[in-house]
Amino acid sequence: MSTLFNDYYLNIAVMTCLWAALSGAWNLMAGYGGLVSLGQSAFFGIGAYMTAIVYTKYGISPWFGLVAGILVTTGLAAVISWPCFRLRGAFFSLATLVFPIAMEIVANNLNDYTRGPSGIAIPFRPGLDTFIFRSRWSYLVAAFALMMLVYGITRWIHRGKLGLYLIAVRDDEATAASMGIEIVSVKLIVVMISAALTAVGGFFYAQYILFLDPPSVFSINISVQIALLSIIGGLGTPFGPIVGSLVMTPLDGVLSQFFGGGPRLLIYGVALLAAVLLAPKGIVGTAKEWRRSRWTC
Amino acid sequence: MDMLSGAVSGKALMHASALVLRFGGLVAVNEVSLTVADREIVGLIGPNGAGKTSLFNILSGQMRPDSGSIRFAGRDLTGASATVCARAGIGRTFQVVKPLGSLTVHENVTVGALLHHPLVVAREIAARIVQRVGMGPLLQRPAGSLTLESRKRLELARALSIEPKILLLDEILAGLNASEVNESIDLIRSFARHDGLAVIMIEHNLHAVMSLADKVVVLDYGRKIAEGRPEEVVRDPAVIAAYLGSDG
Repeated sequence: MSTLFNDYYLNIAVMTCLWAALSGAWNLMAGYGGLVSLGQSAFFGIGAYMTAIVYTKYGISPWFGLVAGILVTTGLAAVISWPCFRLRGAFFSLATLVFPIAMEIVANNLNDYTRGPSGIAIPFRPGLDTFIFRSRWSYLVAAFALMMLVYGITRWIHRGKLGLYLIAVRDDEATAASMGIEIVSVKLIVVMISAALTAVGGFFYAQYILFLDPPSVFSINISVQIALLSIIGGLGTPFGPIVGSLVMTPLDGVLSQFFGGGPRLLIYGVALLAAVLLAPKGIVGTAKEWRRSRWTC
Repeated sequence: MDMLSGAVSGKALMHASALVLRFGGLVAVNEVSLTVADREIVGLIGPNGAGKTSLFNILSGQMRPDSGSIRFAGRDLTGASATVCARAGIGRTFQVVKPLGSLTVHENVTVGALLHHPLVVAREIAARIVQRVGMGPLLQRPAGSLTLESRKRLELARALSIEPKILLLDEILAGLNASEVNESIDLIRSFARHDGLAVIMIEHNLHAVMSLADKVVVLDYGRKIAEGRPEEVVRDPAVIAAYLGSDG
């Protein structure tokens, strides 16, 4: 009983870290570069599927699946983002929405590799080489490490040349160009970093849940959730996605335990509204502003 | 056709020839040619809607000309993008100021200095430029919270930050009081005399143009109607007619 209890809360902790990492990867392109994509679940799903296919179909260590997933998503991110860069604001978001939908259709129909709608069950063979563990604590350590990796990369970008260039492009493209910034290259770099990190999240998810089907990884809900956590926590801040996930993921978990179904979504929705109304710049952004105004007044 | 240009000594840094820019049926820039020598200050004047800013947009790569050509520092920049023009050494300000609102003044200018320097050096250079344009006390202020006057200065600082060979200044004196105008005149003069930059300035403040410009170019309805030394140009009947209307 106590292990079950423990597992339940450990699972919430693992998912909190994973969501923070995924949202952090999105925050790089959306928060800093202004590229508000709703297509992240395409990269997440490809990362997960590459891992699962390489492991179950060819019997190769999922670590190779991770490498393959990173390479494929990074390349694909570059190719599919390029035409979308011509679009601004909401039009960019709408265009990116197409990719997870397309990927879900592909996954549903590529039976030979994905087993279509019935999904892939990943056999439980614990070991570091398979990245499958008996204890959820191991997953928690790994998920925490992934979250911190994304956080570290974000901090590094935040303080460096790429961060300034991204914000310049987000604030005003004409100004950015007049200062010699290669706008398309800057966008491409951040989209590729973001896609690669998201694919790592997909790898983790596959080896943690050990079951994949198209809607569970390509769903638009995942893309939206990824975006929401950063928006609630604070867009364009390194810590924002972590705060967003720390607040919302456990809340979602607890609500689904006590309420389930309709009431859970209702309360979740109210919490979301409250967050957006009370802290329009996200929890981190609003806290910063509040602190600044207290100091300067 | 182009007998007037090339009157000033020094080798040509920028040579634009027969530029045309159309917006649908409207010809915003009509067969305009322009030569700018090293260290030369060119005043670009003309009534509202004469095509001055459009000409800047072509020269800085924000817009592609429908025809004509631009040579700059020995390179053909016809139809080059704004990024390429900036990298070639064309710095510009925007008449409708475009600061990077979520960055501080210091960061705004650092972005430009990063073009030629690593971050640590770029930050130092940026701080010096901000100081030079008289915004030292505002260094750490968010650009989005600046007054219009400060934003105009920030435009200037940003244009300087890429270490340009030529500065295109679009009405940076508008809205300044008399003493601020005089400060800015000294500053612009020092860019040419001290830093060796060429300057093209769009300006309605004729006092500034008269005291700064080596050469004045007058546009009206997209055409170049006069070019020459400032004191000659203001006496030109065609220029007087364009500004005051011809007494037909």
